[in-house]
Amino acid sequence: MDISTITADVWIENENELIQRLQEHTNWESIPFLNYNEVQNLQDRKLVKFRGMVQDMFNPEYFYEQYEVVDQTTKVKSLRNGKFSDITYCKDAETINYDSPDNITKERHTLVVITTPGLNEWVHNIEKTKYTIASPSSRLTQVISKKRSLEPLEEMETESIENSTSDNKKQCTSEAPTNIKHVSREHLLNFPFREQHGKVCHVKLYKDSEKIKLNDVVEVVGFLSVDPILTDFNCEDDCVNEMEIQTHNPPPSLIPRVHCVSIKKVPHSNPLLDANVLNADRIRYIKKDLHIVLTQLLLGDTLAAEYLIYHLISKVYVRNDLLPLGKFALNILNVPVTDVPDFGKHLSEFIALMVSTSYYLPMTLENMNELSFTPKKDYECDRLTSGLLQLSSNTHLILDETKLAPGRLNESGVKAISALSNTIKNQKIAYDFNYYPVEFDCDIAFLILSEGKTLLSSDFYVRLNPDNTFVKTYQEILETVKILLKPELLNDIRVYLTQMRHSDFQLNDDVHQLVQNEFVRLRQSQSITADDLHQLLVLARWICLSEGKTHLDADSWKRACELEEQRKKNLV
Amino acid sequence: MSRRDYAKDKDSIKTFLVEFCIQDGSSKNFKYSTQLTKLAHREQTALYIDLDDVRDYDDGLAEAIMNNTRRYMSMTSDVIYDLLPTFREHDVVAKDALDVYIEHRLMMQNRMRQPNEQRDLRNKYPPELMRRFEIYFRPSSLEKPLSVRDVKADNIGRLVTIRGIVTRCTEVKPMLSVATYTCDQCGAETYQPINSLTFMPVIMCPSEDCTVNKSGGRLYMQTRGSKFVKFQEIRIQEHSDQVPVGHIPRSLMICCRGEVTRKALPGDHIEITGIFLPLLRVGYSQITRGLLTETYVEAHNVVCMNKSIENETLSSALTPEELASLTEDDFYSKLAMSLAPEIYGHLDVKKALLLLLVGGVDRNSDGMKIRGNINICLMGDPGVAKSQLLGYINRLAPRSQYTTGRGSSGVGLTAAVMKDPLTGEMTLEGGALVLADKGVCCIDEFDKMADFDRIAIHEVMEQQTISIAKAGIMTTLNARVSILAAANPAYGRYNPKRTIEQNIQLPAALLSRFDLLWLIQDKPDRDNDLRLAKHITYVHQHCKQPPTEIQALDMSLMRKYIALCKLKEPVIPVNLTDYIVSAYVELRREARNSQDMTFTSARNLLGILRLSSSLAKLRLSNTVEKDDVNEAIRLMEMSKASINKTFENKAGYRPPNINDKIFAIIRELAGDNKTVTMGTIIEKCTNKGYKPDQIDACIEEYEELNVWQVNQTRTKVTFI
Repeated sequence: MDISTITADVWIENENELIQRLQEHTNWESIPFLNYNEVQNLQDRKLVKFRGMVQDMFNPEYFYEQYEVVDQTTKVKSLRNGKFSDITYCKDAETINYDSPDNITKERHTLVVITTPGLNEWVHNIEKTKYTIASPSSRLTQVISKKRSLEPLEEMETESIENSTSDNKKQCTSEAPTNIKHVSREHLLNFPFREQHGKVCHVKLYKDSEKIKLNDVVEVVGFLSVDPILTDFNCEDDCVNEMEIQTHNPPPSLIPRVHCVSIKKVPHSNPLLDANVLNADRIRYIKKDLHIVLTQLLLGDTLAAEYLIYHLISKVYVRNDLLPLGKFALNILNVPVTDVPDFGKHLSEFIALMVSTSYYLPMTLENMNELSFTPKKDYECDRLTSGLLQLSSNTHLILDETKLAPGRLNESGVKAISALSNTIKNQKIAYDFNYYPVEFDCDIAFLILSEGKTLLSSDFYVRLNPDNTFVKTYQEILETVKILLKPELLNDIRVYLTQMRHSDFQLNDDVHQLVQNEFVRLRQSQSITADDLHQLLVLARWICLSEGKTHLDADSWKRACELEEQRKKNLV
Repeated sequence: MSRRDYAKDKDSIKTFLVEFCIQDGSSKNFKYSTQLTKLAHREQTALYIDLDDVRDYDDGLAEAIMNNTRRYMSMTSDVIYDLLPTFREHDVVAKDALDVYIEHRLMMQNRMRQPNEQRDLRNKYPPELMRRFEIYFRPSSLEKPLSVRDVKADNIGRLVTIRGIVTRCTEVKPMLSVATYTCDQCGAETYQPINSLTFMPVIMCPSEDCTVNKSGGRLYMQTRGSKFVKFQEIRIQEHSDQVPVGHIPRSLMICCRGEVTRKALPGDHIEITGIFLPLLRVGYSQITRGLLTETYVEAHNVVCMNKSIENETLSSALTPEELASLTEDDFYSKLAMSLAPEIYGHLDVKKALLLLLVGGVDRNSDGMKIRGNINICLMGDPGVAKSQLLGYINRLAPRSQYTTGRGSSGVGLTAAVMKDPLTGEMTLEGGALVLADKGVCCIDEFDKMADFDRIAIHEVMEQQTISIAKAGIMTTLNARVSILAAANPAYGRYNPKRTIEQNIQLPAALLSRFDLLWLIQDKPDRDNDLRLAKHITYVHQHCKQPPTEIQALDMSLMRKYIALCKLKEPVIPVNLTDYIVSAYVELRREARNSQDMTFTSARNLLGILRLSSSLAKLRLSNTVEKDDVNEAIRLMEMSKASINKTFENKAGYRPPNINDKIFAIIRELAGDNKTVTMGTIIEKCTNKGYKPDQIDACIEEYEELNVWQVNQTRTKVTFI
């Protein structure tokens, strides 16, 4: 039995067995990917796969897991399954018996899943070539035509319904009342970034809803539901909630529903990692190459380049109440703005080639004042309106402070600045629920480029030492680096950065002693605080990992001390 | 499940309503029958039935009502409708048009119709129209309030109590509950009771005349005879503490009818009791929705809560096991360690903060007011986790405000007079100190505050009030607040050679108002550093806090326990007073004799009393014991020591002798000039209390050291 052609009824009958089969890699891979296929090329009520970030969670819905239909002519009663479906399918003469004692009401949860924000183009391209299926023309007849506008043409709609449900099943109604659309496409898609393109779908979760958290990146397999009748809600009786109803029931062609049968969390979105694992030699080699590339981009500053590598592989690996360990917010200051005006933009373009998720934000006054940073609950529509800081774990956010000009920050700008500072400091964002804030943990790697010390906070401040020859030949350097980054090397770097970040790491007891004694020694000679020790340990960790080591050793610790000393010397 | 005998239940409800009484001294208070009398005379519309009372009367009945509330509600309505005429003692004055209308119809009925005549159901007066009362159930006190998240499908049909915050309220609108129609042909009246949100109007006249004659009479609705009830839709959302980490708060729709409307506004914390019901949809939307059911809660009782009620219920929820874990031997250290466990060490500071959270006892007798709140000021070098401590306390305290001295103006701290843009009325808007009333106000960067703002704090710290005289409004607001301040030294780092006032540049008057002043210094110290290093490397190695002998307590448990402690009001037994007095005298004596940079004043005595009563509270005891006083004195000494010991540790430092002091005065007098006249020196020094021979000795000593020269006539001193 081909797993991709299974219907919901079959699934319910053999749930345990099919779940097992689905977990097998080849079966999991064989399910069509909704991210990279147009909805019209996929079959309604068949299994699809979707990957993205959980952006919002709606209130639970109550549905009939089982319901009774009565044939009005023969008076025969029969039971139907309501699981994994949005609509009732019954024949002309059948009606649903709402009062039947055999009806079972169950609860399900709706997650709004959006394409991972900041997903870089290379990831998209690799997966697209891998997962796009050619649209066979034979299927087209069965499939509902995609609506380009939000205003569905009614006659077309009803026709296509009858086509698609030609298997002797029919909706209880085929009349589609005209409803007025107020809600824009952008409003419905609700991405953190304005310019982002991607997909959104509503995932209906039948179990394990408490395991999934907001902003988790998940991969879902479930039954697709794109019946156009889902949009047709008449909101004539209560106009108060019209916005809400429209937001919660968007056109399925734009936002398809997926009735989840299996969901799993995805630790990273790098498609290259599955196939390749780097060995120790290769790791050192790649680190060297990467260091050379970054040194070029950072105008010949080797120290800054080294810090940037550690920044690129950093993640929060443990979180206490107030203290997230492992965060590596990097502030590169003394950027020569006059000589190299688009330094930040170019750097971020190269970073975007290397990491799977990143976003470049020029901190212009306009951006600060107008963009929304913290997500906010919209009680009018009863949903969480996304903000720029609603990002999945390990997203690189590059803030270009050199673009900030003197001027007036309005209230929202001031809030944005403080939101950014707090996020950098605590890796936590207080989402605005109007009546109270709710804190959500996050893990965003911040890279701040500025002329002087940034006005936001940071963990590591590195003063850039631009080499004059590099500054003069910046344009040529960019070209050379592009040539230098051959596809193979680039792929290796991509694998390297992801693999290093997710490697295990341990501290040994002997190094402990060393670190402790060193700390006591440093305390005697110069002022060093507990925070500095935290930072040194974090830095030493990433130094070790960047070289493929899984244990802290004395060399890396010494290197960390040296780097910090040099960095602090440069700062003064 | 056996089906309940509804007829029997109906009887028992009847007897319950008539016979239930509370023994009130010698007289019996018939709680419900008196209310029924009022209902009969239209003096009261809502009848609240306490399920606690029902439980006293019949346990099973209360349970049945909880599980199938809607049915019992209509049963009770029927019972009361039947009962009411028997309770009527005098003629009822009609209150509104509908009363008159009903009266007319009843009179008509009596006049026109033969007894026992069968009438068409539609033309009979529906009971909904005739009833002018509303029945509500109040939950039993045993029922625990749920969060929105806990309301699940198995609660459908049940009476549930839910807690949440109101996020949206519609306006109160009239909702049709009984539609009355008149026929244009036969003039007969038709009634249609409406139970759902939408209804299909009746068009054809169903009366006997019309149906027999086939005259096809059309019905027209008349508003005067229809019955409307007030209707309001409320949306509530979970409290922030009910939301699991990483989830979005859930919300729930509440429908309020009649007397339950207008009880809450957006932003209110409410506890709502109602029946959790599926929403009936009719017509088209039922079909498209198909498998989905929306749910709502039909409200029976809405209670607005303020935070204090919340605290009380929190403390009651402490389980015996939790209490047992709290009342172990070393619970005092354990509690203190659990404050900001991620910050290493500083146990005494944490103990002091714990006492601040618990607070002392307010004395308020004979017009004299002695504050019980404890104020603490943390001073120290940058980067010693002062702000983290403040932040933690801010999160732990049930009621707290966090501000920074730099960010807040005096208005932001105290209160502002605002002009309402719509009405032009003057209103008072509380600042951080007012908002933190009965709580903690954490003020970071206390030293950076403008002088003007600090003056406002003087009053708060001793009198616990804020007086405002602005824009014609003169008022005193309560600000019973504990102040927790953090200050940085004036010169970046604490300079042990200067006094505290110089170091944090705060006036003595303000400093003395703090019960405890802690100086947290960042000094290299081998043992301490090693322990700190061990701690940090452990965290990095094992990704968790090192196992201490004492397991840190959960924050919510701490909150509960502190709330419990706050309920106590310990007294100081008479036999302890002598002890406290002698301890205070001892403190004073020591302060005189040693080089003390802090003040020891009567305020310290009060401080000791506050701290020791707070310690007694922490033990959940009603009397202060000697150990409490000892610990309070110890803390106070430690806090003083934290400031004074900076001198002892300085290698080669000796306390300045008289000569040094006099030299300092002369140096100061000289300023930029090289010469000082002897007259001014002697005048200045004698003012400071030095004797002439001491001055001479000093001058001679420094002359020998070739620091200065004295001219022949000994009238001038010239620095070299």
